[in-house]
Amino acid sequence: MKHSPDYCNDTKDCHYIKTWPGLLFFVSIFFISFSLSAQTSAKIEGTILSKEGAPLSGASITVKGTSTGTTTDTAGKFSISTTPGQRLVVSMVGYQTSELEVGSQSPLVIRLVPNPNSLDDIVVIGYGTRKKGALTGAVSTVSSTEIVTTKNENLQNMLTGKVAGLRVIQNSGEPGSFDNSFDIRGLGSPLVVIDGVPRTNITRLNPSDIETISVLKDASAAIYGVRAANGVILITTKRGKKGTLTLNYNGTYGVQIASRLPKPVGIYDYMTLVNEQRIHNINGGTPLYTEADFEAYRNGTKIAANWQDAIIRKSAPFTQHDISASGGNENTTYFVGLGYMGQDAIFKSDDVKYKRYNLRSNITTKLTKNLTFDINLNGILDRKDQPYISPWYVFRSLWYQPPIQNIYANNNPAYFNNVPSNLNGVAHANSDVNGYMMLDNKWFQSSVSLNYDVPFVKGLSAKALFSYDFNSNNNKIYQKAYNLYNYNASTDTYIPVPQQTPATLRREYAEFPSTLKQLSLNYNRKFGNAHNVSALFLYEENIRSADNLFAQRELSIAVDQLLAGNSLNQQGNTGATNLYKTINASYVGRLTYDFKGRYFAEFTFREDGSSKFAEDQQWGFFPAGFLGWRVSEEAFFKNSSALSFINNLKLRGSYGVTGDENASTYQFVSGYNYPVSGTPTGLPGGSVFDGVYTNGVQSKGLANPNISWYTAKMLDVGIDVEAWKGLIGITFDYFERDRTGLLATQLLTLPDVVGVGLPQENLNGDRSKGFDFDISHRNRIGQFNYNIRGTFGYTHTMNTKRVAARAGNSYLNWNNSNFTANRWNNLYWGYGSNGQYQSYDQIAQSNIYVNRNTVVGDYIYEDWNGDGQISSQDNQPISTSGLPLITYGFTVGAQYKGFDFNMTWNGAAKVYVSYLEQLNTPLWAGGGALEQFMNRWHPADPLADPYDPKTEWIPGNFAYTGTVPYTNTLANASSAAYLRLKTVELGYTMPNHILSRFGIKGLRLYVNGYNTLTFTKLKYLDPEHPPSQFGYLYPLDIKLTFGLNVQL
Amino acid sequence: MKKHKSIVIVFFLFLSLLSACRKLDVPPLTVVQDTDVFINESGITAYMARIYSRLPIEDFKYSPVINFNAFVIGSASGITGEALSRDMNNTTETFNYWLDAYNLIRECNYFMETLPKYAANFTAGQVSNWLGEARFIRAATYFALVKRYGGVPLVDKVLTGPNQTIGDLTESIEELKIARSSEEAVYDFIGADLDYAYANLPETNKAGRVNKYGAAAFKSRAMLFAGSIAKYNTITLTAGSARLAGIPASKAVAYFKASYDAAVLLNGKYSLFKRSWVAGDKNAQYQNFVNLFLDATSGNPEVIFIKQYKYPDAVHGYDALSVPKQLEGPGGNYSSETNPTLNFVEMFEGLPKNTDGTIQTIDANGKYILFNNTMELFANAEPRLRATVILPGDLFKGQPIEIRRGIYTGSAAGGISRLLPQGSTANYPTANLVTAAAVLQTPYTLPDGTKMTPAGASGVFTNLAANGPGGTITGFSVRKYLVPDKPTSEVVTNRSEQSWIELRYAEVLLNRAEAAYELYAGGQGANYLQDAITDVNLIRERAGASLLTTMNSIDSVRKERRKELAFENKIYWDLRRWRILDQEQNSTLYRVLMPFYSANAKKYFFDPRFDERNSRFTFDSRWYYQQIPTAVIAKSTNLIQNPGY
Repeated sequence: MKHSPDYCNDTKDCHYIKTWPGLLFFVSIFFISFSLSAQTSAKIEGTILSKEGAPLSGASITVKGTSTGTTTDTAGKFSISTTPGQRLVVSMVGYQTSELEVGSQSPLVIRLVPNPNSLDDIVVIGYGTRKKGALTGAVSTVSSTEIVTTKNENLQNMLTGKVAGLRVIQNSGEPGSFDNSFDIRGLGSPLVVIDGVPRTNITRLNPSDIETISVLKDASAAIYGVRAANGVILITTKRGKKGTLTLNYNGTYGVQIASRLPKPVGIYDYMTLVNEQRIHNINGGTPLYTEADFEAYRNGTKIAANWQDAIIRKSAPFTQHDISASGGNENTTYFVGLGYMGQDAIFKSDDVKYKRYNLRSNITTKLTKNLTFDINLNGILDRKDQPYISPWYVFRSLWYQPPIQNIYANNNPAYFNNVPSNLNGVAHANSDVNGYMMLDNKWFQSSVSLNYDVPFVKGLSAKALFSYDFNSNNNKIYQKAYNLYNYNASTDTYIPVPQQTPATLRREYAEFPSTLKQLSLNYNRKFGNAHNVSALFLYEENIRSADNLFAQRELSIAVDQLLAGNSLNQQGNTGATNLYKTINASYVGRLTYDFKGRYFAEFTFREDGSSKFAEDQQWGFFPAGFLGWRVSEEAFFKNSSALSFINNLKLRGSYGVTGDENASTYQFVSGYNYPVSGTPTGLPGGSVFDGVYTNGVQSKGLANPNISWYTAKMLDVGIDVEAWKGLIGITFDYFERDRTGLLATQLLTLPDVVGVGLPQENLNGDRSKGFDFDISHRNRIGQFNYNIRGTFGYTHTMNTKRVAARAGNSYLNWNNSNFTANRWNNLYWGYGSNGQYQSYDQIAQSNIYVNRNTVVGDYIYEDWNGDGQISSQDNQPISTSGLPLITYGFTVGAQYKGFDFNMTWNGAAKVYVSYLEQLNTPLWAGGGALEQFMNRWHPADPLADPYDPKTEWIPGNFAYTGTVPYTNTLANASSAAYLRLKTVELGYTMPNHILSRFGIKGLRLYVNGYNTLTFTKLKYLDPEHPPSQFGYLYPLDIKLTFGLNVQL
Repeated sequence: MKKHKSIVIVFFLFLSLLSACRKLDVPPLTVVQDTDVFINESGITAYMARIYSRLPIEDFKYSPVINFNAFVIGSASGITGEALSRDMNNTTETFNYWLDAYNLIRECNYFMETLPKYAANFTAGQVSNWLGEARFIRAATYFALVKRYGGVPLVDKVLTGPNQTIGDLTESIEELKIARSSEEAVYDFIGADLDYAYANLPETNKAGRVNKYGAAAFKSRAMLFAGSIAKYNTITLTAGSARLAGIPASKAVAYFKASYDAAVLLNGKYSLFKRSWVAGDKNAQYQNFVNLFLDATSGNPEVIFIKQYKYPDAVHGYDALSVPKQLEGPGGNYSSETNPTLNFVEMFEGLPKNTDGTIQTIDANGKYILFNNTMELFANAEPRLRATVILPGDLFKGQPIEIRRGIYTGSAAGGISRLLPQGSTANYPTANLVTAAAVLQTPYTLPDGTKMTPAGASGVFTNLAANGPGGTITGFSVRKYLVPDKPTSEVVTNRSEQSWIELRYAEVLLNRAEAAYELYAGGQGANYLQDAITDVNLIRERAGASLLTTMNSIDSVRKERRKELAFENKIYWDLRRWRILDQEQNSTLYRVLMPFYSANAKKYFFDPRFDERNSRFTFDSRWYYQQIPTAVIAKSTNLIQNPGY
């Protein structure tokens, strides 16, 4: 049921797509023309191979003691100018560095030995890079190859389970919703920096463009100052490598299946449940449906509706294609990539779908010997289509309508039935019926930089970077008027019941331009072969702004354009939320020192200014210090044969100060909010004078000019161990983050006659602490290579300071958990559970007060205070609340000949869910029921009197129909701990000797499964499916993907 | 050469970027300052738009159990006996109006203190007009407080200085704990503010904003309230010499005089709306009274001060909540929340009455009187009643409003006896009666073969629950303020925009009549009696009722007021100030009138009975002074609580 044009049916959209590559081509030609052609004649050629004999592209070859260097092309070949007697150093990420003396033999063939966790690996950190062995902070990295083993539309989900302490929870599989909970160590929403620029589009990145991701978990983040309190994620995109042009195509096609989507009951079960609910009445009740009603459905006199089959399909397609070109010569390298992703939803109407186009061009060129120029361009177009009625509401309607309600009035498909509460899910899922929302986003992201190696000072370089980003949202929302119908059998007429009148069209536009300017000086030098010194000084200025507007008209004719609307009741305005301009200006510095790679010290600072605060409160100083001791470099360690199996042992600690500027909304400014937000049906924002609505100005009340950001102090101590030359690697970190200055209003409040309350102040505090670790193992047995990596993170938070009135008594005071300092605040309070009554005897002998309408199977709550009754005083912490406190994962990778295998398991523990509405109550609000509720205590004879002690019961998971557990009890809360096979992939790479005949450099076929296997005690639902939105969110999905990867 | 060039580029870039180092004082884009507001008339209008929007008046969006400016379902008239409402039962006002009041008072005080600083931007006339408006709003806010709580703290300035820090404020917190003033002092404060407003406000103002006569009219209302308290209140609460609750009886005459004098100020300036009124033409008089409320602008001579609404920004849902069920819009089951009681309807002239004043529907033999149609009973009803209440079978939006409790299928030979004994609160018997629970009902086949639904399209349904199926529960539906030409698709909770008339000249006349009669009763001369009769007769003439020649009791004025101002959310406060609500509502069941159709007689009959929901009303006399919110006292411990709490 297509209703709206795809991209490229629209000339305007086509324009974008056609123009961008053209522009890139031009830019590429321009910079490639800078290439120098001068070469010397004493040339040596060679090939770098893996142990297995596969060519390694991108390995770097340098002539020791000189600046001469090159990299291998995709065939693993290189050529370099040397003189015999010089030494060549061959290095590559993931392999042990190899050195050899240049002799007369040419071409050379060099085989590299793999080294998965090379201490020489380059790790991206804030405003720089560091060798892994020299790291003093808690920084985890994920490389491109590790990321793409998971196939998903959202990069965040591709990281699940792969980084210790990175907590990724997927809330929904709805195309285009990107609904995730994503944080580092449970600290809150992290700052994401993409290619050196803070950016918010992590969910929309093309995973094939990514080179590496670094997660700054501790004071390493402090260099980002007032925006770093929740940690920082650094994403670096791919750059070209010297060598011939390589074209890389990657394509997948997949199907998505809803993961554990609850199903509504059929007609007989529904009627049984209704009857049970009716006779579940101590004062006597009669069943609503008689045997004749059942018989009518059995013999076909009446036909039950199957809402599920009418709305939901078994699977939905998902496809992704990207193609990239990379290469370069001595002076210029380039990476250009184009990606497409399309995803459909499991609605039969096919009206919920998502499409994305990514375009990236990263070009580096040497302008002169000392001057390098970089230009990075990134463009993203995406669009989500959905019916006017949101997908979550479709599930609400779907589950609500019982099978006795027909989809169509008089079963005539021309007329949608006017079902109870107008919740006709089939009509709701269909854009042709109820209208649509078209959510269009565009991103243009660019940065240019110049890097100058200052010739007169060895080790000094200067860099200037300018970035301009632009993001726009362009939405079209069509509320279409439609009819549901009541069928009048006596007159054989269909009486329309209009819905969503009048038809309304709304256009929304918002734009978010931002700029970043950065100037830096970098110094890096080794003195006396022992003292490594580096220094950085940087100035940065980041301006972010937003503007928006909308227009809305009621439609005169049924055409989905604004111009078809009339001026009566037309609306247009700018929303206050996306109207801002903020500036951050910062001076950043770093000093590092290490002695012989044994003792490490580092100091960073950021003098950060934020325009969100009053003049005296704008600037803050955020220092951090790091110490590291690589014990394994000590002589006693090296000389000890007992310890020789340990090749790296490092102790490190960091402490730093960060800030969080996001909470304060200009509370230092007095004055008036304009426009005033109001409720048209309640208190509006203004008044109507002479028939014209006039918006008001609302006094902001008392201002607090001293208000400031939250301050977070991050402590981290860690240990890195590597043994048996990388066979085992362990990283363990313990952390504490103390936040102070959380906003609160002090207890002493002004008398009401003042007419205004005290403003917020920086009063409260909390502490998050926990630990995370990462264990890796890599081995090779004959032709069989494998690696295993496990990650684990544990976090929890307590209030350390909380402004709150003491409650009336100490019990209540204790009970108000959130108002008490020094207690974990991830607690869920409610009644404990003692199971369910198994017999009438048990009810009769209950030592707590039992309501007279209690039946077998009813929930027994824990009489915690032992007073014989269940009351609010039995409230106690029964479980944890919110996101899981423990997240973990493990990854297994293996290769054998041409086959490769990868899987990532991830899990969560210390997480509980409890549901509301239809996931909690069968026949909720007179609606239908879900199949899970058939697993209930009920009399063996469906019509037996439940209050008759002779009645025989069949046990079940839920109580008898009509008994609903209290919301906040263990009877209603279930552990949503789980372990799931997040991704599993099997691939086959065609042998080179076959491919080379066709001129193909590489070809790999693979099949991948996402969420294919889940172990959880949670019955009936996907454990990640959140209770928010009353549990109606679009389900998570299981994906099966087939893919092809070709290199030319 | 190339090298030098690039160095130049680098340095150029450095310099250009460094020069951009800037201060970070970027003002928020959605916050404006005094200098933006007090600079021109549109800024002042925006300030006024805010304080007028929060003016505490009991309009379409007033709910006694929620707040002002609320999304209302249950009708506010449902607590006075004027009407019954499915979603409103026996209650007093339950929300706290305290912090919102002092916040609005602060904004008025701030305006009064700040505007003079910017006086140079305006003419002297503008400044004094606007100061008058702020005074009016402050007075109205204090009136909203005093009529609820009695004496309250008087604040006539902004209590926090611009340079005071949080520390300064918390140190001086004791000084901010202002004690309650006497009830009398609050009324005097209101009187003074309104006098100032009268002196400074213009003769005319924009619709939705007050003019000087609005201030005078409001003063006549407030002073009448003060006089009533002085005369009728028996509750006393004193603190030192200040009487926080109650006004000495000796002050009654002065307040009634103030009310009378204020009302007289409107003499010749306003008059009753009679644009389509024709002497002796009941239908014209009915239509005129309907139009009065829908023609609130365009020079309606009766309208003194209104609150306007405008879709989509400021709306109410009066039509959706009040229309008869059969005219209900999409969205469902909101209809007929205001169902006038029989007690109310019986106050009017032109109905057949028994000797005790109740409606006569039973003949001398104890049988129901039979009618060809439901409107026959009301053939001679006072036009004002038809304009206020939709009677069963009357036309609205071109449709006869079908109100029927059920079909009587028993024999009609020899007349139909009472279905229940007089005064019974029992359910109707099921024998010989066909009824319906909701609007979807199975038609009943009459003896002649035609079909009829048991209940009318607008009720009465047997499911009387709150949030039930809609439809009338008393046999009547409200008519006042309903828009007759509103398309059904717009009869939804956010599409009504007819103006609320807060002050109209009829009320001023009634204030004047009441004050005059009280002055007469207080020994101030017979001229006042004559004045009262004249005032009431102006109202009665327009209503299509007979004219009075004498007046023996204040009840004549009060009854007139209850009919004229019904469903305008004023009567509750009148019943309170007269201190008679506790006597009227003493385990009271209100009465309803149930129309039945006799299938065999092919005629209608009416059964008057008590409310079928058995919803009893009692007004606790301590409620005459509402409880000061305990949270307010906790913050300001020297506030003395009202008696009984």
